[in-house]
Amino acid sequence: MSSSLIMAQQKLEHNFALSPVTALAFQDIGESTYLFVGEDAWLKIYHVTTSRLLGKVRAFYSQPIHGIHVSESKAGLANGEAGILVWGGQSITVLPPSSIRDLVRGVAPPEPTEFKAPDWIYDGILFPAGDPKGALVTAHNELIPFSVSPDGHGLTFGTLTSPSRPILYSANLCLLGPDTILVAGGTVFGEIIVWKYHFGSSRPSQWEVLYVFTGHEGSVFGVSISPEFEIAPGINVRLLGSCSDDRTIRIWDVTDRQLTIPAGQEIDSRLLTEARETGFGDNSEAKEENKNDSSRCLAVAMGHLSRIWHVKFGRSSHAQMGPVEVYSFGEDTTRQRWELTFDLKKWQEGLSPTSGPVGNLRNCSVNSCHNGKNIWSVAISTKGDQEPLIATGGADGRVAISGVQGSADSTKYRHLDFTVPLEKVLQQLEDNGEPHNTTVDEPKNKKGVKYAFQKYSFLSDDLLMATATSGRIFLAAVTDSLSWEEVLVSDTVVEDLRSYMVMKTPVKDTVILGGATGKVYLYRRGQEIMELAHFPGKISDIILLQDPSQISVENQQPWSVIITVLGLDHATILNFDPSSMKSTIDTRKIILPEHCIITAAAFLNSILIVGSRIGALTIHTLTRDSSDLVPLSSRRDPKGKDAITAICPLPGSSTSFLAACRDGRYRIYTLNASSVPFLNLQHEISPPLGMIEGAWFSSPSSRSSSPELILHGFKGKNFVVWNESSQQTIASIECGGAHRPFSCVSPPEDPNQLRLAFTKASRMRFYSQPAPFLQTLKEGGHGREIRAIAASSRYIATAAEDTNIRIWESTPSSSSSPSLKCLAIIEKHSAGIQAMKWFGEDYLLTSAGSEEFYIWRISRLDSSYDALAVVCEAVWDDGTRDGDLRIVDFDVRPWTTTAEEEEKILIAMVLSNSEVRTYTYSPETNEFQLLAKGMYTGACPTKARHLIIPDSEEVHVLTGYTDGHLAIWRTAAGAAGGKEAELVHEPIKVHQSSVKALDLVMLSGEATNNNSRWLVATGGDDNALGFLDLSYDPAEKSYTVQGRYRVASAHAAAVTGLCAVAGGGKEGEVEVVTVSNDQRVKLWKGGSAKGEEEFKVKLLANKYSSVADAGDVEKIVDEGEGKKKVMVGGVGMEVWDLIE
Amino acid sequence: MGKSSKDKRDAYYRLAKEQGWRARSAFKLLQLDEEFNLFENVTRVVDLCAAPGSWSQVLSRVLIKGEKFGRSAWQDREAKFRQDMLKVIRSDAEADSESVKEAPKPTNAPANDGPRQDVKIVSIDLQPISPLPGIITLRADITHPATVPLLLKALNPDYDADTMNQQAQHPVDLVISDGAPDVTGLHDLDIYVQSQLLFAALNLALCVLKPGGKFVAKIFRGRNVDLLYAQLKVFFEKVYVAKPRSSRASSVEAFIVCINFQPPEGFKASLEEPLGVGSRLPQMQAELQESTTAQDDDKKDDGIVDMEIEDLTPSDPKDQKSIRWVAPFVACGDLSAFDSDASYRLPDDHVSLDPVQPPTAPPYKRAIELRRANGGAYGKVPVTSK
Repeated sequence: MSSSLIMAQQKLEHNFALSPVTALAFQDIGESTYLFVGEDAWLKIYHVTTSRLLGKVRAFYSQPIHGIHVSESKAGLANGEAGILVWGGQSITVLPPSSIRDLVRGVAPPEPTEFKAPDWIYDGILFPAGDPKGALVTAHNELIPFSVSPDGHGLTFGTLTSPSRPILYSANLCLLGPDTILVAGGTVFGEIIVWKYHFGSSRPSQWEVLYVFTGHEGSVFGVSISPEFEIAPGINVRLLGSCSDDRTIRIWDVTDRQLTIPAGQEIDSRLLTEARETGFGDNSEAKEENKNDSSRCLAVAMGHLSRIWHVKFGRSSHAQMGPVEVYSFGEDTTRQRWELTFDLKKWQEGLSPTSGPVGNLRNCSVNSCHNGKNIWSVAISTKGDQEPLIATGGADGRVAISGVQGSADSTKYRHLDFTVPLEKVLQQLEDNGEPHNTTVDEPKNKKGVKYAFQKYSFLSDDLLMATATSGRIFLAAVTDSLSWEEVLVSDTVVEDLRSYMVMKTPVKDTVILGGATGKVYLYRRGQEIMELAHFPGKISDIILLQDPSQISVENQQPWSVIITVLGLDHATILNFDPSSMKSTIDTRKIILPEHCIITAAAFLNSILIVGSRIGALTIHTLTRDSSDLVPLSSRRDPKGKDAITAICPLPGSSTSFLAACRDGRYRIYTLNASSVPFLNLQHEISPPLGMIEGAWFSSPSSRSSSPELILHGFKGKNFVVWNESSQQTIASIECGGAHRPFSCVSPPEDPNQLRLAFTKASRMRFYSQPAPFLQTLKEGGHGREIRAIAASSRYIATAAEDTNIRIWESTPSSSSSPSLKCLAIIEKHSAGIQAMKWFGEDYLLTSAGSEEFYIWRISRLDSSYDALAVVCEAVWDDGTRDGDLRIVDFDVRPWTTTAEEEEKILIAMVLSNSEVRTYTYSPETNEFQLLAKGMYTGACPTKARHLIIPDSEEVHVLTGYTDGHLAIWRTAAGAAGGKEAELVHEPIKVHQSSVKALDLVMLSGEATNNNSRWLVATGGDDNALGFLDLSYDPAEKSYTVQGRYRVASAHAAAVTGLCAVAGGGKEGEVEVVTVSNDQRVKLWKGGSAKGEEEFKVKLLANKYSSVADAGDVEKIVDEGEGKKKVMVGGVGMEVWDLIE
Repeated sequence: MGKSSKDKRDAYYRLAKEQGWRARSAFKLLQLDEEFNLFENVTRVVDLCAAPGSWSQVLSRVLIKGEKFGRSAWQDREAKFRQDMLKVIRSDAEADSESVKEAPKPTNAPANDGPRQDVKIVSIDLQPISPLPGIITLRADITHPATVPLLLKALNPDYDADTMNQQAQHPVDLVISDGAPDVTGLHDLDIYVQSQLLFAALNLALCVLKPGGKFVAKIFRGRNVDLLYAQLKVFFEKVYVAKPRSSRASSVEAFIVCINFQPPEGFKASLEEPLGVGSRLPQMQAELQESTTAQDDDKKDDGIVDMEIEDLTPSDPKDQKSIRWVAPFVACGDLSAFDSDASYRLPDDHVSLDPVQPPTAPPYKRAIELRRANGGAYGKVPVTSK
């Protein structure tokens, strides 16, 4: 990369960005509902039911959107009077209805005109008609009316009005009547000021303070005024919700009961002349007349683990005294639903400081909606009693939505949720006169324990079998309810299945059952139960060999299961042919190693893979000497003794399979069918499930889509179904924890539909869903700041503050909107990732705090399942005793020496204790070998790069430090075992403080000697861009600084990322892209042009970047397109094209 | 993080405890003083957003008690030794020290010997500050108009707003502020709130600072920080952005050091009409444009060639409407200072000390207590994932 890059004058062009979603608003137009999404400076519009992006427009030049107000008047929209108001920081713009129509049609609307308000804006509102057009509330509790000129291009602000100017963290406006606005402001100091503003031509603008609420013990981050609710006949209330740094949500009564409030202006003068004391818990805005306001606090509740950013109102029930729905949204990425109810008696007694709260907030549900941290934006749309539409926007750039009404014909499963006690089933059979087994009707066994449900198995998606501990067998047909019948069997069978049984569904409408006496029974829908076989001991398990996702599909093919019998040294394959109704015992016995308990199995052609209770995988084949399936080789990867719960061959592959494990991971292996077959671990990952109980691949109805991997299992107290391909929860149902009988089914082509039965508190819960509760309207990425980016010729890897690594691939740019597809998410680091590099396409290396340094092997799967296989191949373990250093940076290069044939990876790493170390890593033995160590002054290193000296077996490393210097270290040829690395040149000052970014190109073309020469570009904490012209004379074995150059104020803030994009080689110049905390991305050219002596620096491009807190910038070469790009990462990510 | 591992990870945290400072930020002020000689000829100081009081503590010990703190307070002797050994450009360190200096170092400034006469230091915060010898602490909102007379009265008990002359109303030599909000993570909002805190400090400083006075405040170096630099330049002859070595390189925090207060002609400061919102300041800037974006700075004599850049970017009519200027950057605390980003090995028998003063109670303290009382969670509510 550093040797020869083609040179031509370039510029930067914006290509793609993924930024936090900081504003959302719903709008209904005709029959359709749309969602406006504010992502950085862009306003995007999505069609809600199809999740389709219809259009987008840049609202502001360099300011993220923080709010969108949609005019509530539908008639207004149709008449062309209203539009939408968009604001962010001090910027505002009003989009006319014609622009909205353009956006919906996918046509680019005219560019909006950006106006600057005199202060930061927290909320805005449009008036239904007339002039002024709308109003804004600022961060200093000021209200500003504004008017828009008839052509829409002019906007004038009216007079600022405020009762007092504390600094706010939140504000909300609510139009009370044609000329009255209710204003609520949440201050930095935990107070809430509620005031009214009158406007209109008939009377002079004026205001009155209604309430000052104290009580919050931290900044008020969110306030929300409710519509009027009728909570009891004749009792109408208007509520205010607030949320705070103190982790509480509070509900206040702000109902306007026509109380006589003293005219506002008097309060004003007093407020401004009196000296105030301020601080949390103390009254600052509150004066004598406000001292009882806090008794209007109706309810207080806590639910979030960290700060709460928003609180909103949902539906209100028509039932007496509530409940009213309240939603809260926090830093912890959860949305929480609360029900607010009132104590009517207390209410009627009136609000007083002594009566205690009259309302109660009950926490009803908690849903985690985003990656990383923070829900930045929320929109709620309620329509009568319907489940409200709720959208959340996160720091991860994702938009999650709930309450979308799907079209009824596209789904088979309706929403159902029943809790059924066994007695109710028996009662129903009795009541309906269904034939039932009357000999076992006692409700308790001999020990006096009540009979309960024992096992569940779906026979198809509309038929569930449930057995009882009494040994009785029931069937539930699923319609809008469950209708029960009993499978009549003889008393001996009931006796056999009482208190112990295993039950599995191998194919549709079929169940196979095993009991304590060794008998195996078969039930087929509509037929009587029959005995299939009798084994000499208790049936310990029945292992399915078929794909479990196919049980809702008609199938008359023969099928097989493995029967394991307690105490037997082998397991048996039982075959069944539905056409002849014959079962046969397979002649091939499965010979088991001692103490092996089979928990899962699958055939790959004639080779059987068996998974065990302690997590081992064994390959069984027929051998020349045996007609049995004998174990040939085995491996065990889980750290503890956790069972393998499923083995699934990958779609379209005869050699690769997936093994799910109770240790919470799944692994993909490839069978190497050499003379002694063995398994290669290709992929190992921990999805967000604590315990994986099952896995299957979907069969998409459209051939163009790839199968998706669906996992289910337990996480904490919930049963979770997880789509690993889309990284989304399909369902998460509270069940009480792991270790309980359950059965679930989905249509093979649509894993989002789900039916589930499990036991909770000895009752059966039956759950059915047409779609996941939360859906993704817009895909996101990292939920925390990206700290490192590395690009190979094919993949881009990003690593974020939350220790997650994502691997992306550019999607073919045939589509008009370029984008990146996330292929893998790696979670293994426990400390913040510091640096990341590719070695070729197959190895990714990452370093982090706590002395973590991992080498990942990356490969493609041999399957139609389109995912990237990632496995951690090696963990560096040559750290210090305490293991608490950060591996701040490292560099890699291929390494071969005359003494060794193998190509190794040469690693130079720098640690936070001022050390530099060099290692080789062998991909064959997976071992690290220390070459040398060197110690700098004690200053923390920040950067490390190899300096490649042609034809030399010495290792040269260039390092940068927080003290603004660069150093060059040499490891002698053949060094090993921690020899001291030698400082070759005295440290070179390039910056006043930390060297935060560094890249270099090698120069060539000076044919006069064998000297090597580099142009090193550095970015500093001192805002400067530095260039170092460095040469090395191999004869003298010495470096010479040819020149040091500085652009002192290259950025307005620290230069945090830099990469060379062109130059080097015969060119005497280099082009670099720099990024900074000032949110500019710049393209520079520095050096001495060919034939010229003088060193010059040119600025070629200077653009606003949507990425705040930029951590890295990396060059990407898209080989398919032959395009050069750079990616910037920080808060979100951004791709720029380099255009000549 | 435990106390002991924090001792290793953060050298200044350990030093602060060893040297009796309320917070590690004391070193930031000491290192700023070492570079800019902030305390020279200074007797009247106002410390804003002072809690927990480590900057006031520096003022108390330096100005009132007459203690001296030089490099030895934060010098890493081993680093010094290794620097000499590795030849980390001693000449350069010396050159550094010449760069922005306007007066000799405090270590050899005779004015700093012993307690000074007539020292008045007032510390203001919204939160109470534990008492410090010789320091008047006020609990007040610095944005409130009533705070100015309160402050002037604290500096001069005979103060009477109606009778005092202009000079008596501007008696302060130095205004400092280390205030910062708890960041939300929404970067542009955090930058805005910090800038409002900075303007609050500036507005008060403009009311009480005497011509020639100095102003030091914390700043976040983020988007549009160049707008702020340009605005501060309206009032001061020289404006620098300084990063002490005790401030982490990974932090966006830096300090704005404004020297020689020179209010524009006809300018009258008032908290009734504060700067920072509205158009008053941009209008002043437009009138003064040239003088606000230039500063004579001695070129750093460190051998690095400062480049004039050739700007080939097309002019963008929609961008850069506002007046922007980047204040010169100055690193403070010499190279032998402990590195706030490095990890240090401590002797095996290292005893980790308790902090001098516990951190102020966070607003969510009660939430934590409640959660603990309920056995680790607020209540039994199922959490489901996305």
